[in-house]
Amino acid sequence: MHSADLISLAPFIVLILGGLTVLALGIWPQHVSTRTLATVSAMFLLLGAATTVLWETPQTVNNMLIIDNLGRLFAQFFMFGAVAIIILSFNYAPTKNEVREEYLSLILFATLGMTLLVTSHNLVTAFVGLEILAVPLFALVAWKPTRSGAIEGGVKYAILAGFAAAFFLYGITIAYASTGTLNLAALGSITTDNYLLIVAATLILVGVGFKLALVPFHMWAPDIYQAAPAPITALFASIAKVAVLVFLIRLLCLQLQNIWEALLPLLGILAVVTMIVGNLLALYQQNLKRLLAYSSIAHLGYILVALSAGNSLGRDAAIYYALTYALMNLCIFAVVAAFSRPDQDRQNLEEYRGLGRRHPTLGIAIGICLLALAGLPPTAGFIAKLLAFGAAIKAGYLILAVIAVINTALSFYYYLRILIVFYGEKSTKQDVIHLSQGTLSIVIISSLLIIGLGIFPGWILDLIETL
Amino acid sequence: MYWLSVLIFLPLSGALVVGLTGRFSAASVRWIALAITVAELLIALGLWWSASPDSNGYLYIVQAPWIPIMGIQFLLGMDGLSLLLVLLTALLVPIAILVSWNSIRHNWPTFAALVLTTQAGIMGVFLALDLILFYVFWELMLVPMYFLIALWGHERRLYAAYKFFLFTVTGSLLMLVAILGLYFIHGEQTGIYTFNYFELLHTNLPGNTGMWLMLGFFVAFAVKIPLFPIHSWLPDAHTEAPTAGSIILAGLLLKTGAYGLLRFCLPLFPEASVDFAPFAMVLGVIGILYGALLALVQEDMKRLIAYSSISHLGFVVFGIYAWNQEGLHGAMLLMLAHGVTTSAMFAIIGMLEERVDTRLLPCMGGLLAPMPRMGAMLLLFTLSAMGMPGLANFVGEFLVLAGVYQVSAGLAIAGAMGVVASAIYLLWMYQRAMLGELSSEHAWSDLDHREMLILGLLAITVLWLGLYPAPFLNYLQVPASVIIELNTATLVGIEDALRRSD
Repeated sequence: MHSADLISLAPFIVLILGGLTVLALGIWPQHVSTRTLATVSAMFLLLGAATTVLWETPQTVNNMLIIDNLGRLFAQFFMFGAVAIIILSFNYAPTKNEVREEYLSLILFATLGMTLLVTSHNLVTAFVGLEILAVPLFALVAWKPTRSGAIEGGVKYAILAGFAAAFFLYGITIAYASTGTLNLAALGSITTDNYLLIVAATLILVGVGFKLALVPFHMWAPDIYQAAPAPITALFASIAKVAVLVFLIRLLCLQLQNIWEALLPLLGILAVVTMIVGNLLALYQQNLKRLLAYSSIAHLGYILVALSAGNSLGRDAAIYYALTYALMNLCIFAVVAAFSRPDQDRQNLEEYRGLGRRHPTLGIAIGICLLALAGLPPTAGFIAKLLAFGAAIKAGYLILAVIAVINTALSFYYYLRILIVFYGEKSTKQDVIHLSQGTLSIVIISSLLIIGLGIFPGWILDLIETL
Repeated sequence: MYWLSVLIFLPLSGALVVGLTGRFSAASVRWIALAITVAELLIALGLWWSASPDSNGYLYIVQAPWIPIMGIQFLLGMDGLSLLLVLLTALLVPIAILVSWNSIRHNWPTFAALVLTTQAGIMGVFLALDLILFYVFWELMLVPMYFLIALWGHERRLYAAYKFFLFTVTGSLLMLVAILGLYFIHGEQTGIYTFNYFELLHTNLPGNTGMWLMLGFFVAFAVKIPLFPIHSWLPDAHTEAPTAGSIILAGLLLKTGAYGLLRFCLPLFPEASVDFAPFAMVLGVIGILYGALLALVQEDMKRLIAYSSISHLGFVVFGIYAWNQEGLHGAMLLMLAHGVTTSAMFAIIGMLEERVDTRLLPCMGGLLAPMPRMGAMLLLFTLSAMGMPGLANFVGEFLVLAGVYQVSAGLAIAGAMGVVASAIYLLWMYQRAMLGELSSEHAWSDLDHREMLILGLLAITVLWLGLYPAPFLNYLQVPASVIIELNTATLVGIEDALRRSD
């Protein structure tokens, strides 16, 4: 270990110190206000993001971590995302007085897990990252256990995460047994036909598939999305999923390209099944959070379309889509959090009737979000779909692209349904909603980013191209 | 010429200001929207004034990089055809706003913002020459239109809005696949990855690929036109939309489909289009007769006009795929004529509805006596719609039939039956609404100044198009001959290939 590595490790150290500091503040003799705790955690996250600027890329740390531009882009993205989640949680009525040191430190540790996952250069580091990410999430799903379904959701996620970890570990074991190494670069340099390695990659894909809620490993997603408090659902649906996705992209597209090519048919089938099942289940769903869970399953399908193209455009498309996907979900769940009742989230779609009219800012934001999710220009969602479908067409998979397009058309049905409810005329109950500045600013910033990335995708695309 | 960008961004920024600030009262919003659209009309007239019809090809071009990494440009161009359609758009949108003056009662700021956004989208569609830019505008006009129907429409508005959106979006997504396919084929052949229309024009498409890509485009445009098997959204959307929505739909959105055929389908895929032309003409003639037959039995005036639109747009497709001088000129003129005539009809129906609160023909009758001015106006536009010589539609329909006759006499005769049917259903409609006994005791008020202004403007246009179409035809010369050259080149190419194989 060189002293130069300290710079590379700085963000990780900052996050660990941050988590511990927040915990320590909780046992401080004097009472520390929730605002102070939240501010301190946000400061540590911003500091962490700042230290990534110092990274000298690309380099590896002990062959365990790889410090490169892809890692930097997403590490910063996760830390800003986590700040957004903290702001949302702080202003979220149902957990108003529960967002204390434990909650905040769990978010910091989860962010650490995500950052570790996207910079891992070794399957074991990846596994450690995955678990550091998963364990805080069990607890966060079940936060304020008196809510109905909270414990159920937490336990469900814990069991499924256990399954996922088992598959993942099994894959790692087989990879080690067949090649004698767990280093990604070393695994990538194996060019001979190693069927065991393909089996190993498939098992890892299954493990990752659980986390990404690909069909047929998607059963948990709607339940967890519904059970978790809206800010935590936002965490799940945006940055936590993207972290796993970026790990998959790094594993297949950057390191194990031979394996990627071997897995293309499997990815294609997964893509088709995931899109179709996600969209069909979303069509008649009446619960908004469950509906968005199915819609995000369908979106993973579109991302897999890009990945199953197997070309560099597909990789870029998947990275761009991952960013867009996280932004869109963050924005829409921020709106859900903003409209929450004092004790819990609104569940049924009908409970949102007319809210878009009464709160024009949030109404316009949800319009932008839904049009982006549906993939209409001039939003980032359109460019993401353009790139993803373009990658499939470039690889010659015209049928795959047509299936994806028809699914997109199908998805308009339920996105429009949500939009119409939000702009509907009769509001059922005129309950008062207190909109906090913090939540509002998150919604506005993320919807502006969605539009901005749609009109000027060059900002990010130039960066992704050089990764 | 940055004026082309102004045509798009003026209404767009107007929409943003009106829609987002929310500072304006309903009364002032109407004037602001009207001012913006009139300014738009003045710009369009200015462009018409300063353009010379003889110049070759494009009158104005705007080119700027947009997403260079993917070869997407901000490329706008205006030739004779787009000039006339831009003029039509600039004329009809202020009319749509004037028509809604009193009939839209709630939420004027949003309404105005949506109408202005639609206008920006339609202008963009008629001007964009980069395929992705075109797609962006194509979708941009869709979303506000959906809301116009869904929020201000009549009883079954949600159903109609859904149907409209899902039909169109499915078509346009298939077009997106075709655009991407063309992009990659062109890129692999030449090494230049670009969505630039001019570059893509001469792409060499192997085997069946051209046909598949052409079909991708064709489906998107056929939904918008709409052609026979995929027309079913149109009667619902037209009937349920507010009057302004019907005017924009019938007057402009349907034209974007026909424009797409002329601008993209035929020039990009000449070989495939030549093979496909007979099928398209048959679809066109089915549309003419089917639309006319259904119009015969409608009780609802809006629905009747909607079916007559299917019939008239069948003529446009007919003329386009006849692919000769007369046919193309006729189709292009008919697009303009239909836009003006049908908008006027929808405006009149909207005015009637404000007075009687119904659109059903059996509930009307004898309205000519209390409202002579409205009766005269409706007569003028009815005669125009049925192809009376001296009025707008006649020139177009006559030229189309003359063009089709050269290709196939049988199809031309079948198409002419459509003209006969249109005389029946339109005159019958007029008779049931305006003549006969006055059915109800009601305080009737004839057209006021605003309504006379609307219909007067449209009437002047109809007479101009009918009596002296030369100023318009002059601009259509170049675009039509470009498309015809493609046809001849293709046919010559096929003959050469045949000769070589002998």
